[in-house]
Amino acid sequence: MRIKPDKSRRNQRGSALIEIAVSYGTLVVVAMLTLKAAINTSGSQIWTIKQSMTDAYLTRETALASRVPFDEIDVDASLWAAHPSVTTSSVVVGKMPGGTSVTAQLHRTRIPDSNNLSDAGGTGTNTTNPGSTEAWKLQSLLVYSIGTKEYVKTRTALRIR
Amino acid sequence: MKLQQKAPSRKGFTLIEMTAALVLSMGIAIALLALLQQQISFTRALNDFKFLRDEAPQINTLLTNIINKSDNYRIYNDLDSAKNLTSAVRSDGKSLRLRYRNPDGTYDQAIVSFETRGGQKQLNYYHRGKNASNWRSQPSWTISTKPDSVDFDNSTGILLVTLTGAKGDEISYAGNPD
Repeated sequence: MRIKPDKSRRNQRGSALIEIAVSYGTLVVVAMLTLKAAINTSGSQIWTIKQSMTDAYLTRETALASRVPFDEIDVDASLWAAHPSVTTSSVVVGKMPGGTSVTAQLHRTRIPDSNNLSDAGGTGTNTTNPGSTEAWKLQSLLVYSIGTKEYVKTRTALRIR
Repeated sequence: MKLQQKAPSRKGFTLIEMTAALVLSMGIAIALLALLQQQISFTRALNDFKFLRDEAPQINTLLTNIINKSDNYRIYNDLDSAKNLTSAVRSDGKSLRLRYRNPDGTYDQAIVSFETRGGQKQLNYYHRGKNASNWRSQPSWTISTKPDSVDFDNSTGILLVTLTGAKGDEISYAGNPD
């Protein structure tokens, strides 16, 4: 009688290496997926927060445009340059966790109503505008970046006297 | 009959196999720990954004409602100054005193004050009705305990409310945008 050698055991040799390799592979895939999810989530967080910050900043612009004395609107030193000129400044709209400033470009311009008299930037006459009313649109544009994309928000206030 | 000698059976593993298994197992354990660490960092980062994402907009909504209903406001250094109408400031104020005109011509008053009470930083609201002779010592209610700092500023002609979180995060709102 000849006892055959145990082939099944011989075939199992090295299977642990394959199992560990599969474990490594699974771990890498899981790690990549969670990393991707983390990046996506934190990216959307930053997007949401920067939108909040810029919205908040533009509430200041709306408030300022509604309150600035009319005599300071249509002068050379006006915060809103006469269209098509634009005053541009870099502004800090907020700070991220860790204190990093979030900056944006603020552009301001004032657009006269077409029926303004000529000294107020319009083409109106005493016939079309006998009351010499004066209307300006004060427009503020905030340009900011999130990642590689650039966004623009604008607010316009109408001032009439 | 010839007896065949049985081949010696191999029991257990060699030292090299054990070492390889241990090293690979440790590798998996380290990878799992790294994954856990990544999740912890991710959760922490999410929490870092919580103030700007959740708390600040809610505070702004509340403050805007409170301030827009008033017909007059003034900024003070602290709660006592606001109560006693002393040392009004235009910037870096911690207390905002508001006046509400009633239909009968009388006034209610309120103070929104950022202060430390019982070791906790709080943004509190104090209300004083038209018939009250004194300000209450305890706040009527607490708006939020989350900000690390709240500054009121009117140096630009607009009431600006700057909210600072514990992580140095900061956002400014116009208190009376309309």
